[in-house]
Order: sequence, then structure tokens, then C-alpha cells
Amino acid sequence: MAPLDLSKDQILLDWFQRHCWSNPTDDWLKEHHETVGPEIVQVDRELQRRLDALRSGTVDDAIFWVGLATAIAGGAALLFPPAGIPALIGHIATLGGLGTGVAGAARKLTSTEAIEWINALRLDLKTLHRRISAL
Amino acid sequence: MAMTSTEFDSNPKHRFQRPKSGLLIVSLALNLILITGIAAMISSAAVPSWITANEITAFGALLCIPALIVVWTWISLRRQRALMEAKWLERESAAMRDSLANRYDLNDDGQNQHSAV
Repeated sequence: MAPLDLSKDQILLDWFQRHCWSNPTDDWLKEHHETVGPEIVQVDRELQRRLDALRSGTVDDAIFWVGLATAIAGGAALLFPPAGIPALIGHIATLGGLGTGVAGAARKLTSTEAIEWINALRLDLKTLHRRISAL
Repeated sequence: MAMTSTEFDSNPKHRFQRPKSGLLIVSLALNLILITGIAAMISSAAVPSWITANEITAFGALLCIPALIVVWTWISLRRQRALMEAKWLERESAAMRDSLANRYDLNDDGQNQHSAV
């Protein structure tokens, strides 16, 4: 499963819906804690794997900075009036660089939101664990 | 009635449907304006006499690049905060897994020691 597709991971979301967000009763947890307890460990490990895959962000950084450097170089070249093909290359470098920079920023924002979601899910797991421990 | 942002965030289902940042949309719009303007200019060559096509692209980039850097800084700060929180939660999770492993006699994969194949 791709780490960035957390929002589309229906199995994981269904698990959280059933065990956390639907606010199960204490009686239900008492009855099912022997299944839910080990599942918490498995879900937490899955979240950890996804977090590890998201943590670095080197590719996003590289895309952004390469794009920005290209846009700056293209824009600067256009200030020294070139004409014909060099001017066209300058336009393409500026626009392409800006587009690439935005793509890098969008990727970083998406992975940052995925990290925030993992944090939110882990807080829900902690709450569930606290409830099971208190039974 | 429209929901407030707090109500929106507190609904767990909405955590997975949060809209993208407005700042990024502004940055995209700036780029779009620039691209549309340049494309129209190149195709029709309707450039005013006091400015050249090259200058329009260069000054457009001058506007977009700082906007992009501001957005990038904001995303980086947000990521840093999320990673710090993740680090704290990792420690909490490790303690939680140990506690559950002791209670239910689990191995590292969260399976019962006696039933694991």
C-alpha cells in the first residue's frame, strides 16, 4: 500500500470507524478486548511503517529546489534581452521551473498532511488503549 | 449551516477530506495567470510597446518565486511540527505496544506467542 494513500485505505479507516470513531461501549470492549488489543499493536506497526516512508521528504525538497533554481535562472536570463530560440528557452525554463516548484510544494504538503493524519490516528489508538486498560 | 473549522477538524471522517491549503491555491492561481498571460501573448503577439514579452515573464516570475518560497516555508514549519509530534507519539506508542504485548502475551508482530505460526 502506498504511504501517501492513507486517505484511500478503506480497511484501515473501517477499523478506526468500528473501534474508535463509533465510540464503542465499555461492555462491547470488555467482550472484544482480546481481539482488539493485539489489533492495536498491528495497526500501530502499520502506521509506523507509513510514517517511516513519509519521514524523509528528500524527493519533495529536490523537486522544489530544482524547479525554483530553474525558474530563477530562466527569469534572470530573460532580463538580458535574448531573442528567438534563447528567449523561448528562457520562457520555458521560467514557467516549467515554477510549475515544478509548485509540484514539489504540493507533494510536501500532501505528505505533511499524511503525517498529521497518522499522528491523529495514533492519538485515537492511545485513547482506545487507555479505555481497554481501564476495563 | 456551515461548520466552523474546529467542528470540521473534530469530525474524524473529515480528517481525510481536509481541503488543501489556501496559500497553495493562491500560488497555483499566480502561476496560472502567468502561464495564461504568456501563452496569450506568444500566440497573438499583442504586447504593449512599453514592455517586452521577456520582461512580462521575468517580472511574473519575480512575483511568483517569493510567493512560492513563503508557501514552502509555511509547509516546512508545519511539517517540522508534525514530525516533532510524531516523535513524541512514537515513544508513547512503544510504551503502549509493550503494555499490550505483556498483557496479551504478544510477539513483535502483534500475534499471540502461542498461536503464531
